[in-house]
Amino acid sequence: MNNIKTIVIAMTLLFTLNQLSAQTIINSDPDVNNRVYLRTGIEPATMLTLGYERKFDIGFLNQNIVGFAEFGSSTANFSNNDFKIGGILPVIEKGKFKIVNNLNVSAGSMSAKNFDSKRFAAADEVAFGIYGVKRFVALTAEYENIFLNKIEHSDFYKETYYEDAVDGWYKGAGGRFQFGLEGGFTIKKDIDVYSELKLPFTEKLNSYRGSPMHLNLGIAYRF
Amino acid sequence: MKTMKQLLNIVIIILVSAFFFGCDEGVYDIDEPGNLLPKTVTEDLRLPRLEINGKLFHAETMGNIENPIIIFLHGGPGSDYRPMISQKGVENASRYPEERTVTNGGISQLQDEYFCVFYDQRGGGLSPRFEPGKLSFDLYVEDLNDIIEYYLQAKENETGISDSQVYLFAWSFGGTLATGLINAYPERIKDIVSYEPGPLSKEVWDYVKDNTTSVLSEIGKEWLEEYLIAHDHFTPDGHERADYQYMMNVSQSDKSQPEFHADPNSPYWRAGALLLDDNLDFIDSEDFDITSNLNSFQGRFLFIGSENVLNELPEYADMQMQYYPQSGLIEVSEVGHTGPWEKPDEIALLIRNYFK
Repeated sequence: MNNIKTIVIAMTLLFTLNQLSAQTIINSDPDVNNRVYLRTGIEPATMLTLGYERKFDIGFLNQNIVGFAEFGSSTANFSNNDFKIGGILPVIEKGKFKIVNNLNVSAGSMSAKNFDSKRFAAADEVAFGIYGVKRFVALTAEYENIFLNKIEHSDFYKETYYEDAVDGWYKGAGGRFQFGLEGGFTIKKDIDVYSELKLPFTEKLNSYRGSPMHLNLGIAYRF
Repeated sequence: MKTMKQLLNIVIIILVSAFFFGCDEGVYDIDEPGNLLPKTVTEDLRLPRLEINGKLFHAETMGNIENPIIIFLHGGPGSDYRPMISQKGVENASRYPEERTVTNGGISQLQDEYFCVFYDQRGGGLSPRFEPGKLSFDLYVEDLNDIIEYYLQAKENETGISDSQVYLFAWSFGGTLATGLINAYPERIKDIVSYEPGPLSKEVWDYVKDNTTSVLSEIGKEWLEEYLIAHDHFTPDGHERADYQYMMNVSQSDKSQPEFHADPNSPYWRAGALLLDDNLDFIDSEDFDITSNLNSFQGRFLFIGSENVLNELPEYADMQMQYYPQSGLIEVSEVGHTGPWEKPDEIALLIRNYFK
């Protein structure tokens, strides 16, 4: 078990260091290197997320990358939260049309009446869109895989439903597709407003059985 | 070049960790039966069972088969009979009969005068699971009819007593199922007692929907947020995960459906989530008919309602009872929809008196 913890921590740290040591561009604006943002919406619960992006020059492929880190929390219970880090890289550019890839890993924690869970996931989102300096619109497709959980059942769960429920590390918690539309514009030179609408499905394209759609509104400050 | 090396490092780390995760015996498979939820009769041979015409159920009987037969129908759809053999303030009934400290708990205390048959309906509790689209209300009715036939025949074979009818006790969705059975086979049932039966018509469903909490009004409430955020922790592909997620709703039923005043400590083994897609309780039906032949029913129908629910839904009992030619109403005070678990002595007495 300690091996697993060590690997997860090492992977997370290494990924972080790699992202933070890179360099690039946000929404094609050559004069901006940083952005902080606040996002709220339903994904998958009612969340409030604070994030930071930084532009890096990766030194090859003649491309820039945006590294980001964000912390989101349920508005109903701040102990139910999620931390995500990743990189955003335009993979194809033809004028304002871009195909942009967002690769990220995340760690989440939740506490419920029946159990506590910690989860580790990796995701990749591809956006096909028109990206101008002051506005953008894109179609998105995302896949997230939850590769590891730690689940601990509550006394209530064991006493009321299943006394032999197994606490521990779990694999195979599944994956999720999201298909969506996102867009945004810039006001007053350095304030971005954006929104995202996504339809979630399980990785087997079954009903997600949670919120039928995910909707986010965000505001960001460039500097 | 330096960045390229770092990227290579990441790939190696991911591959190595994938190898370790794949080999580590300390990491459980979330979909393996028995980890998050109890195994069903398909996977656990210790569980009591009933096999009829190739159909397998989690089931058990209590009492002397020479006595009149009562078939107990649990709620849901997708729930189980555990709360009918358990009772508030006493240790919950184990799924293994030989490990129970109390063998006549809950309304199973009726076994002193009746032959009591408990079973988990298809897809629910510890009965085998079914994929979405495989279940229907008609199948449930046929299952119940087969079980009635099976025990009437068993009684005749074992005792020489030839009965043609049984009694029913039906709780919540069990009342909908019982009504479907009586509508199809009115001669099968002597009398029925139902504790707050599920809606018997679209008109009643509309009344319930109009007078109970909509999930949309609960957005932002902690119970719903927990349920939603759980979808970030495991997806509902597959029965184990879907059922485990759904158990979060079951444990918060006092908050998700406050008008029913259910005690959230009421025990269950498992609630089947995926069978909800099959509209077994007609909640998504524009119209349905399980009452048009009830005039042929010669028996009596007793509606037991809880004080708390009838205060919330004052027209509910009359709307339901109108479908039965001979019906009566008894109210149980200071309790809600989980009354048979909370006040089994009182409800068992009502059943005894009515069937006598």
